[in-house]
Amino acid sequence: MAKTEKIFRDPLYNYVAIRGEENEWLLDLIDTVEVQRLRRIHQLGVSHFTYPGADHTRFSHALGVLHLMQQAWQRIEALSEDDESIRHAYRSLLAAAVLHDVGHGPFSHLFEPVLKTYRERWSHEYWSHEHWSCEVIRSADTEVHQELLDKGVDVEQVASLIEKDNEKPPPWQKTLLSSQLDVDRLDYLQRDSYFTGSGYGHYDWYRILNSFSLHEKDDFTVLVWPEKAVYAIEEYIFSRFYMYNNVYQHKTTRGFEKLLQAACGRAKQIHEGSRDARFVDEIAEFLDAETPTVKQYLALEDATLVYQLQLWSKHPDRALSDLAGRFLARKGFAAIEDPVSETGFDDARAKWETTLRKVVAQGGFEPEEFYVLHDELEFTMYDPYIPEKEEEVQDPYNAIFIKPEGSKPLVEVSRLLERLASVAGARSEQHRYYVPKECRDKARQIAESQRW
Amino acid sequence: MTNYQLAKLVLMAQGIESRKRIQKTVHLLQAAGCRFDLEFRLHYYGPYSSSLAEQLDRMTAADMLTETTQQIRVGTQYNYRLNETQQRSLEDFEKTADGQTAKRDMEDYRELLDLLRRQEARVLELASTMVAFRQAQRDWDRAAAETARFKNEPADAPPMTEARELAQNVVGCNHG
Repeated sequence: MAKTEKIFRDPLYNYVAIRGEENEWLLDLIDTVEVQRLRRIHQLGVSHFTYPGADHTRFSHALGVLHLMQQAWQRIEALSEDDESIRHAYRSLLAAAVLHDVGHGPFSHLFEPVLKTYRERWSHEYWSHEHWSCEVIRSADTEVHQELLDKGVDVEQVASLIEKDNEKPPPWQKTLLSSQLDVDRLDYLQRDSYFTGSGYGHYDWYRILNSFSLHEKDDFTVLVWPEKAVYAIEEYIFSRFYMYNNVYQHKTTRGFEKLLQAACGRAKQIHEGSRDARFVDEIAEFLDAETPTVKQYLALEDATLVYQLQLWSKHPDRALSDLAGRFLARKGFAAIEDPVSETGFDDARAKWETTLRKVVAQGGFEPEEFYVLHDELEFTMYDPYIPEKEEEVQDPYNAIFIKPEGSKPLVEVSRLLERLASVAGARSEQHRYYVPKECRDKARQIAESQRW
Repeated sequence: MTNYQLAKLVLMAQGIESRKRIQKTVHLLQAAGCRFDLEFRLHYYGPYSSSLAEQLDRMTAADMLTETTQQIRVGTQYNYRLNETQQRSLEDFEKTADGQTAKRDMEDYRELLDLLRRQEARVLELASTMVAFRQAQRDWDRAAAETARFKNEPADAPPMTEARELAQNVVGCNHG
């Protein structure tokens, strides 16, 4: 097969094809070490602890997003009527599709809170994978950067499409990649559903990507959908809701995420106490650097963290070896449903957490802070669709707009379909706690016996 | 942002009209040093926090805030206040040790909040956007120029002048 045609077989789309000499640069971009590294980053963190099939990687997701961006582009090309300002975006959009997750750390989103723990002095954007994706694109030290330069792709334009709060690209370009209905979500919901085997990711993505149009709204060009697409969008929103509740927030998965984060937190405490936390070289180098380089960051992969946990499981510190050992042996903590009522302004949550800490201390687990693991679900990376309710605050990033027939104004999709109200409304604050299984019965008994 | 902080803010402002005004007020107070710990993204209309939007709905559902609606030109506007029972519940918490600390922290920003309350919605929106640009390592001239372009407002229009003064005042309050 000539290099001008490359087919990747994919379980969702069958063929992800890169065709034509004009697209050859994409193959070179995919072949860079930074993109190939994504083969070694689990797409769903530690969800494979719950769903044994969920071993897919960020690499296959990147190819899937590229495929959907290609599909969306065909639609844009048909709509653009040779508008040069629109056609100019072609290569940047495809590059951004391939590279949007290139900055993910070990186990994807799971690593972001670890980074927050280890690099507290950084401002919050440095903890996010989007920040590191942009670093990979902009750093002259990466193959990605060199490839983009060599092939004449505008490096800054690609980074601006991925970078949070970068207002330079027109909204239609940014929202195509990152919004409430974008090619990223359209791929990962299907892919995660397929590989977990959960079966919730079914919707008519083809119709969604072949029916939108470009619309002028308040001096910006935005993406809107016709009324005939609302049922495909409805399916997508329901799918997102089911995946959020059943897969992304799965009690067991979240428990292992918290356990891994607790082990990392304990190691940091040991390190700060001037004891040897036995960090592997790549992690030590990253932590010791005043300003870590992209190369230092990219040296961290899933396997690095797993090897680190193996070392920690033999560490003389009892808590660290216990936490790491439990993770490796898949012996997670027990979940305790939140007994705290959120209807008052009092400090019930703090009192409940103090009580739980006493329970684990009595069970012989110390330091208690690493044995009472609090999970506040609102801070997770995946979410169901919750549109802004006030029209004045709705924008293409937080709402999905439908363009009715005729000259009627745009309307947010849940206003057209009342059924969506049940899944697209505000949800109550959700908290969970995890304690060692040895303390589960006592903790549950107290949770049930008192009002908090 | 804690439930207490949001409820106290609404109480101190004697009610807040429109979710957009709440978004911009909270963004500016956070820029002034208020520890709300919210992540804002620069959306189409300016800085916006989806967590804050959700929190308003959660607290309304939990009867910690009272929401009323009003029909305006562009649709429905949502307004927020505390009724007597909600106010009593808040005051009960303020009698506890944690409540007293939380109350002190919020009271420090009363003067600034009063200033924000007196602003036109458009000025708040422009000032909030300008602060976002300023926080992205731009100097004030560049932040103002980018705000004018982003919000499609003439750079020398009176709301821009007022917004810049307000934005600089807000950022100047932050000594943290």
